[in-house]
Amino acid sequence: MTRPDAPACGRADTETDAEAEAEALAELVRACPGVAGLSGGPFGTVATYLRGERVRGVSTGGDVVEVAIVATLERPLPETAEDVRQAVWKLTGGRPVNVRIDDVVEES
Amino acid sequence: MPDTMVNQTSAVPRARTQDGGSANPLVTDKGTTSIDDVVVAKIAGLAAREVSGVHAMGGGAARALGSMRGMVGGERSVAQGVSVEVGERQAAVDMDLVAEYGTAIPDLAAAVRRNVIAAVERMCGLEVTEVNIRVDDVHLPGQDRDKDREMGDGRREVIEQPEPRVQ
Repeated sequence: MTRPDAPACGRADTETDAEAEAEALAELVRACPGVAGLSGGPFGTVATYLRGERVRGVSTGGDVVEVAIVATLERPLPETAEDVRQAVWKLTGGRPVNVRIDDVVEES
Repeated sequence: MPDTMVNQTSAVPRARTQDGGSANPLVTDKGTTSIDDVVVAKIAGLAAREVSGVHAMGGGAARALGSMRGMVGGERSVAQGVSVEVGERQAAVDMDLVAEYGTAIPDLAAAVRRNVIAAVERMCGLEVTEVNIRVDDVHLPGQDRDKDREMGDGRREVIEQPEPRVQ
């Protein structure tokens, strides 16, 4: 997810980075097999807060990256979680990735 | 009945002591995986329903509420009648169910227990310490609408449980 119109000034730059990071992570997580979607976690607290919007299900603020997902039942949940962890690993800069599975949906 | 209960519970894998820490697929050095209670409850509920001879899930009140919700177009929860405790490595499951008339209830309970343990251990990577099954009612063949009156003898299996069940 590149942003061609990223402003060059310092503060906005970090903000744009955070935004790009959160959205890129969310995109990678959604693409994993066995992931039905992102979840907000309890009370919608797993989120990255950005200017004007909020990326639900990915929290990149601290020393730990937290990802909250809704999984499907087509494969074992630890495998899904491991895939999610592998998928986002490159973008997290060596921070641990905690995966929460908040809900499951049945495949009809 | 009591000695069959002992046999069934002894088939449940007991808590492994601390040596198995590295085998746990949920806690890795790259981060942890936490599985919410509702996830385990849904998987256990689905696994129990798969067993032939299980007519419905849930105690009287839950079934009444569930059928009411069905009448107003709501969706019945697959986790109805299931309550779970989930720890970092282990889970314990309690469930209420209605058996079909004509099933051997201890055998049915054993089958449900086996299926629930297999499903939760495979799908969640959690060790299941116990599955307590309460057979709340029997469903008679002619009883097409699920009344919540006490129809059968309401046989029950409840295992007394020690206090902390998950680690």
